[in-house]
Amino acid sequence: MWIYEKMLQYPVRVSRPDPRLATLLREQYGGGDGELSASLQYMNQRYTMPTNSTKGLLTDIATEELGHLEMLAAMIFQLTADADKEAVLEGGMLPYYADHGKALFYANAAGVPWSAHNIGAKDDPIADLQSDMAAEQRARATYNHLMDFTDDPGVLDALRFLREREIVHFQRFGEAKRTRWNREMAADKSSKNKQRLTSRK
Amino acid sequence: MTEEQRAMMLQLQQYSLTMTDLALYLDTHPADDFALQRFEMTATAYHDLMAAYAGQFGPLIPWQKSGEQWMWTEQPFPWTLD
Repeated sequence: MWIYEKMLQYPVRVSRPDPRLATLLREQYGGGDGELSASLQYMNQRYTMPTNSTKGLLTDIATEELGHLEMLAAMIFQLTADADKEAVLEGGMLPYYADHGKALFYANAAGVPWSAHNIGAKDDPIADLQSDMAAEQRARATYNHLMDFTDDPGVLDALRFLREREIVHFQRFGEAKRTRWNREMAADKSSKNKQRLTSRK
Repeated sequence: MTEEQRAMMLQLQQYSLTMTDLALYLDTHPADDFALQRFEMTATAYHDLMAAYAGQFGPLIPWQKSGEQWMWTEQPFPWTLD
């Protein structure tokens, strides 16, 4: 089960209403390579993972991605909450507004609703973890695209943080895929294997 | 939200992120005793501060003890600009 913590993983405070920016950020909220996709993909894949290490990692990263989803939601909400009609119109948010108003909804920047076609599960740890690593890199690239069109310092700060977490997840998935190395590490806690790793730091 | 409350919340967020990051690292490096020690230290600090925050401003997890009044809905939710 899950427990809700009444705080964001990283503080989010936008500088001013900006419906145009809110529309862009939806790419990482309800887009194909967004946080919802990542969380739900990892959540499904953990059941058919062969080791506790990979089950644990997928559970923990899937959970963190829900926290990222909430950060995106907070930014989108803050960017639209106080926007007037004119700003909604000029910001290109009108088609979205016609259906959802200022509500949060799982759609990408172009307004296409989220679909399970965005994600995969193969019952094969190599195929799944490799696809997770690719998903993290696609998300990182999307954050780069979003940052190209953001000058709000509060939003930039949060996007920088989220981009960095993609890199950390990519790294951890890569390590999880090195199954033989992990078995050796877990089997021999105080062996020279560990000393070798420690001395490498 | 007062400055004092905001500062306490920020400290909790820092502990929480440290634990999240160390947990992922320990998932793939379970034999790293240094990382485990850091995790344990941070977890202790986090749980102590969570309890202190709840006592002063209300719970951050819905089933922390609430006292004589239902406090969960007294404090702002984290996406608001309050």
